[in-house]
Amino acid sequence: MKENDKELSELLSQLGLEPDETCRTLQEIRKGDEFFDQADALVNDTAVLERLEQRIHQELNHPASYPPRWKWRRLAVAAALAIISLVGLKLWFGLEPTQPQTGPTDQPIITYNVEDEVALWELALLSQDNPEMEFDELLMTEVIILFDEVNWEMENIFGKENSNEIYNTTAAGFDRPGTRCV
Amino acid sequence: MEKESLSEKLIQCQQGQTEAFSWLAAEYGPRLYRYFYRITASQHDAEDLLQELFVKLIEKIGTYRHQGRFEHWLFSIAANLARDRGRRRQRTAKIFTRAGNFDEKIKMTPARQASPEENLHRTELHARLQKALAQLPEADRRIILMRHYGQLSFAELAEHFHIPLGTALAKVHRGLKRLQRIMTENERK
Repeated sequence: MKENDKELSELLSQLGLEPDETCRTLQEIRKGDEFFDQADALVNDTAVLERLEQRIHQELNHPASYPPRWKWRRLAVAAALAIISLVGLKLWFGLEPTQPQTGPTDQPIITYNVEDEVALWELALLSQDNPEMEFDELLMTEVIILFDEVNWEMENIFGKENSNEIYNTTAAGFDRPGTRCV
Repeated sequence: MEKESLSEKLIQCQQGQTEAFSWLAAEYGPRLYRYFYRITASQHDAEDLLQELFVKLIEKIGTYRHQGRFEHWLFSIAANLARDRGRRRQRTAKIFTRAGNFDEKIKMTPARQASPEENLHRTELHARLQKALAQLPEADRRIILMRHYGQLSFAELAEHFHIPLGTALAKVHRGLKRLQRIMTENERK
């Protein structure tokens, strides 16, 4: 709401204007306001307001009345998102292994235990050459062969720095999902 | 306007009562229409914006919390709508530069019963004001229109335009003086 003369005068004083200057500015602003009021003292064509009222009625009686094309667009976007989600889910689950004890889910454990000695691709090749063997058995065979080569010396297997650490490792440390190594 | 009646009407609007919106339209419609008309210099755009504003008002009224600043809120929405429209069409500047060739006459009727001479005088004054407004720098024009039609205080203007209070006052003061000078000069020509 516009200020009255007193408020405006106080405002001008707060801005550090001299009393004369304040008075003059106040008068000029008021004169400008009055002039504007006088020059604009006309009301609208009543038809404009009638049409506005019709629009208000229309909006209130049909809330969220988006144009029809927007409804279709929103539906199309929702359908596209649903299809993309379905295809994504299908692909994701389609790539998942069907047998829990074989395939990529075992890899972290294998990597942890024999990461320096037995490459995964070697195991994969072995797996192809020995289709009748389970992956666990294959891995165990490889580990036993490897350990046997170094006479089952822990230092030779894990290195000097890591051998103590290995001894201190609890069974729980190995007891992870996937292949049991101990 | 009684503050109580406005509060009541706003509550009724929030309840979705058509009569309350009609009341708001009658109360603020003319002022908003003239504001839009002064900004866009187009009767068609002004009416379009006015309707758009009330549609927005219907959507947003539920979130409004009345603290005696309804006009400020309303005119802030109006200013944003007008600005967006101007940006979208990039027409506003062009319209105001061709103000001398103002060919679209707004259909208006006198606010009260007046003689034909008085009506003619007012209509001429109305056209002169539009022409002078068109010659004002845009920043001055916007702040003057907001003060006049929005009935905003200088503090509210400062808040709306994100400028210091003193700057708001100086801009309005300078703008009004400049407007009067332009109108006087145009009259002499």
